[in-house]
This record gives sequence, structure tokens and C-alpha cells, in this order.
Amino acid sequence: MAAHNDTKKIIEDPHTISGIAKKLIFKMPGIYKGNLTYWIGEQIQEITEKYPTNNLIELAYVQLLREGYFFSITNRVYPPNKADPDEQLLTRFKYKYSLLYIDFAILYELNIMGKAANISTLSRKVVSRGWYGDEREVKIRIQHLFWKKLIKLQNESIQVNRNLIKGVVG
Amino acid sequence: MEEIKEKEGDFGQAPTGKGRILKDKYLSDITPALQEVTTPKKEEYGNKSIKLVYPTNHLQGFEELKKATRLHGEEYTLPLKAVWYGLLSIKNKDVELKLNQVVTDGRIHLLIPLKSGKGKKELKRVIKEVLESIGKLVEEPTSIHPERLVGKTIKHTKKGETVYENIPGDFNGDYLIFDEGRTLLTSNELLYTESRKYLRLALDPYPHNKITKRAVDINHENALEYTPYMGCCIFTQPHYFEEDFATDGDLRRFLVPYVNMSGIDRTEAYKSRVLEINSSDDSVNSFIQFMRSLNPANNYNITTEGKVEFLNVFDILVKRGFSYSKKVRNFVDLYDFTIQDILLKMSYVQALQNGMDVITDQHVSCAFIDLFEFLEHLYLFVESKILGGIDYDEEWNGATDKDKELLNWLHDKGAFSRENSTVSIGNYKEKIQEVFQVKERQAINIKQKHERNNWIKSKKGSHESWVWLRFSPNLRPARGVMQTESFKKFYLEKIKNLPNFITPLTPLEDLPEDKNKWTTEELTAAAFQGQDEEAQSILEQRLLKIEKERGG
Repeated sequence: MAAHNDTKKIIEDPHTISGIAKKLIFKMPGIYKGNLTYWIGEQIQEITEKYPTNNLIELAYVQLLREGYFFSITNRVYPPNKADPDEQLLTRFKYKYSLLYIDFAILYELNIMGKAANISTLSRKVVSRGWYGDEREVKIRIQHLFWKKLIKLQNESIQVNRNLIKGVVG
Repeated sequence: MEEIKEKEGDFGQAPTGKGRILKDKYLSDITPALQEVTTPKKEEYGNKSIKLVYPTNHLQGFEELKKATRLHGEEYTLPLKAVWYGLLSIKNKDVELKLNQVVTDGRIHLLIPLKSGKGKKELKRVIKEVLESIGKLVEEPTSIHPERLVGKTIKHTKKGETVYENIPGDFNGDYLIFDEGRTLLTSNELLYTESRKYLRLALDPYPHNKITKRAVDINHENALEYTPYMGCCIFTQPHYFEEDFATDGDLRRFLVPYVNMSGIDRTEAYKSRVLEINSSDDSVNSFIQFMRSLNPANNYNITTEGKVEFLNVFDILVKRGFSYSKKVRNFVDLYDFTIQDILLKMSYVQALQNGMDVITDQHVSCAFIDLFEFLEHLYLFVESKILGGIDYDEEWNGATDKDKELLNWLHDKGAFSRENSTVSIGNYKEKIQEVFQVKERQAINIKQKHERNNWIKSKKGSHESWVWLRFSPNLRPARGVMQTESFKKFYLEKIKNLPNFITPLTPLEDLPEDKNKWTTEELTAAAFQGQDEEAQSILEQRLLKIEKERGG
């Protein structure tokens, strides 16, 4: 009976699930959320012979959020202070302004590149990284971001206008 | 990937927000002022007027440009479209465009007929500000002299040696603005005819427009020689122009966004001029930023689909010209190849605004819509502002004006031979009196002149008389005439398929203030992406509740 209660506690206690999740995330920073959910399920099943529901795992993730873990739009999970602050900023910005996925992709790739020599380089990068299939439309969106001053031309190269985004997100 | 698919619809869907409003507005409520693109009174092929729509949502930065000029009223849409094309076309230097045998450059030159006090100054200010901000040299010659435009070679002696110094003129800059250009375009004074010749040369397709100037006392090696790549914008009052202006090729080099601004209701414009709050400086800066962001390529290719579309739309454009009126048909006879060049240039600008160095069918379609509008207005300009029939007087054996009118009358009466003629000498003299406003004595002289010129012949019988034409007028039949409705349908169909480039960055939708009313997806997004603590708590409670219900 005691064993049964323990199992129930482990399954129902999000803190226990979050404990397993933390270990996995520290072991593999940037682990895909889907993989993390799978491994959590496997480990819980090993202990309790029962699979946790998705809701319980989601509850654990909310707990992790409070502790500073970062869930990226690209479905990766990072321990506190391990994620790129610019990516965190862009993620919040995307949410706050319901930014199109493609717009976020452009900003995200440009942020990783640091700067792009021209529009074609950037659009090619976005397409080759599988964000979007049509380079022409990517270029149109790049123009649009220029227009909205979210990206800017500095020293003959294209860069993310971090100051503006920081100012908006706060 | 799921998310990608979900979002792919953003580009294909009907425009939202401002874009949708614009598009709907254009399709349903067409600007009355601009509908005045009416054709001449004498119609040949049914009702020729086409209600133009003037969409601008496929032109990036157009709204900014419009705000920057502080010109209110929709009658300015067309001139502003022309300025938009003119500015973008000059962004990249030395652009050569080749479509097999169609070889031209990227420059689009403008001839803007505007009445006094109708915003010339504002347009000039914005053109200058934008181009100077992107590092272009803008010249605005006030006194026109060939030497000022072309430049000269100076000879001086330095330490006993003769030194030649070449000083290029205004053509060596990036953009030339002529205010009040009518004198330049029409005057017969040597100073102006010379300037005009040089201007025509400079506006010829790059790089086949090399300008050479050598004074007799300067040898060939030291002559001034350069290949200009400058854009040109001429402002003029909407006066009448002589026929030569169209036939000499001056008109062919320009895009003419002519709008008849007489009698337009400006009540709304007056209001918005006073009430509208927007900063022209911000708009100019946004447009400059947009110009700076454009792809600096100068070599452009066109896709196979683009070529097919090019031929398709060009066919419609030319047929429209040939179906318009006799005078415009004569004009299009001179202008048809230029239409090809301009269509290619405008397609290039469309590709440029998308940051591409390949011209696709989509770009050609967008260019078609604008060129169709420009040409409708150009034909109106030709009909109403160019004197004569633009036929080199070939049609009527050299007869012009009133003589031609009389011969045309005979032609309409079917008087081609004595047998066919129903016109008597008396009728003809009466017609002469009516057309020339002269008395009978003078009418006899005019009839005799017509006979001397072998235009007519007359015969007097015992009771009746006959007058008939002695030659068959060289009337060119209209080629590929189509009904106005077909053009209209084609044009509107293209507009319906316009891409909506002005998709606004969508601000956060207005969700209910009470987050408990949000869906789980909305809460998840706010909790994870927005890192909203309140959303995190509510999401947590909701998930726990679901779990408990499930367990129960």
C-alpha cells in the first residue's frame, strides 16, 4: 500500500517530475521538448510502472519556467542562464507582437549570424535552415522588417535592431 | 513543421488590416477624381473609358512617400506612383536590362505636367531629400545651356606645358530636375534645341549613350567623354505641345503621369490637410531607410514564366493603344517599342523592391497594372495636349488641319469617284465656308487650291455637279482592336491577383482582460513565450483541475 502511495505521489507531484526534467536538461542543454517529455515518461515508468499524463508533465514545465528555464520557439529547453539572451528577447517580442513565424525566423537567423552582408545571404540562410520554403517571400518579409525598423543597415551590413526590440519588450 | 504550415497561409490569405481596407476600397469605391480618364468625345470603338483602380498596396513604401510629400487628394496617386518608380529606378547605378533583343537600362524618366500651385515644390523637395540621403548627386539647373549640361574641357598652361582639364556637366550627376521645362522641350532657339539634342542622347539606353564634346582647339585624346547614368524629371505646366514633340522622340523618353486636375472636388483634401497629424520627416526617413535596404545588384535576369507573362501583357498594352483612337493609334505606332522598354524597366523595379535579382511573372504583372494606368493617362495627354494627328501628314497627301477636315468629310460622304459622289460643287463650297469661316469668293480660291494640289476633282454637268477625292487616303487600319470591356476585365483580373506586400506586423489581438477566459493555447503562449506569471498560475490551476477531474 505504501508503494502504491509513493507511485501516486511521484506521478501527481509535479516537483518530482520537474526534478527528473531538471537532471535531463542539465545533462543535455537545448534538448528538444518532445524528447524531454519522452525521457521523463520513460524514467517515471521505470520507477512507477505507469506513464504520467501530458498534463502532469506540462505542469512540471510551468514549474521549470518559474525557476528560469527557457523554452524556445524552436522547441528546445535550456537551463537558467544558458540560453542566448537575444533569443529570449526575440521570443518575448514575438509573443508580445504576435509576430509572424517567418518574421521571427528572419530575426532569429540574423541574430545568430550577427550581421548579414545583403538580403540574399540572409534569405538563403532562412530557407536553408528550413524555416520557410519560398525565398521570394522571405525577401519580401525582410523588406518589411526593414520598413518597421526591426532590422537596420549598419556599417554596410544588416543587423537586428536590438535597441528597438529591447525598448518594446522592456 | 506544423507551425510553418500553419503560418504559410499568412501570405496567401486575403489581405488583413489596412491592406484589406485598401484593396476593398479600390475595388468598390473608385476615386471619382481619377475616374476622369475619359477619352475624347469622338469615339470609334464604343465606350472607351476604363475606370482605373490605382492600387498601391503592391508598392512598398508608397504610403510613406505619399505622406512625405504632404500632398492630399487621390488625384496625386498617379504622379506619386511615377515618382516612386523614378526614385527606385535610380537607386542602383549602371543597371543594364536585357531580354534577348530588348536592351535597355533601369532608369525611368518622368515628365510631370502639373498646374501652378499643385505640389511641384513638394515633389521636388522629396525627390531631392530622398536621393541626397542615399548619396546621389541631384542637380537642378536653373539656366539651361548645353555647356552647363554637358561640361567642357579647359585648357591652361602649367609650368610651360599645356594642361587639359575635363569638367563634366550636370549629366554626370545622378539625377536632374528641370522646373518649368516647357521651354526646354519646345523652344526653337538654338540654345534649347542643342540642349534638347544632348538630353536625348543622355537619356538613350546606357551604355550606348556616350557623350563626347570637343572644341576645335582641343585634340581628340583630351576631348570630354563620359557615359551618363542619370535619371531625369521634368516638371511642366500642362500646356499644348506641337506635334513634333511626340514625333521627334522627346515624349518617348518619359513616363507622363498626366492628370487633369481641373474641377476636382477637394473638400476632403482641404480637411485632411488641416486635420491629419503625421510627421512628414518620419515618413521621409522611413522611405529613405527602405531605399537603403534595396538590393544593390545591377544585373537582372528574367524567368521563362516572366517572359511569357511579358509577352502576354505587352500584347494587351499595345492593343489597347491601337483600339483607343486614330490619333493615339498613330502615336502608339511610334511608341510601341518604348512600351516594351518601359515594361521591362518597371518589372525590374518590382524585382528590386522585393530584393530580388530575378524578374518573375509576378513582377511583370505588377508592372503591367501600373503601366496600364500610366498609358491610359498618356493617351489622354496625347489626345488633349498634343496638336495635330501625329501622322506625318502622310494620310491625306500632305493636307493638314482644315484642308484635312474637308477631305475627311468627302471621304465620309463616300466621294471616291464621279459615279459614287453625291457632293456637288455647291455643297463643297458651303462646307468650305463653314470650316474656314470665309465668304463664297474665298471658298472658290480654296477649292481651286485643293484641285491644284491634286486632292480633289470636280465636274460640272448641265444640271448637276460632282466633287470627289483624287487619291485614296492612307488610313492605317486598327490592328488587333479589342472591346474596352476586355481590357477592363484583364486589368481588374490582374489587380485581384495582386500580392499584398503591405501585410502589417500584426499587433497582439485584443484578448479578454480576464485571463481566466483565455483558451489553454493562449495561456500556454503567454506563459511560455511571453513569460507572463499570471498566465503561468492560471495555466497551472487549469491543468491541475483537468487532472483531478480525470482522476475522479
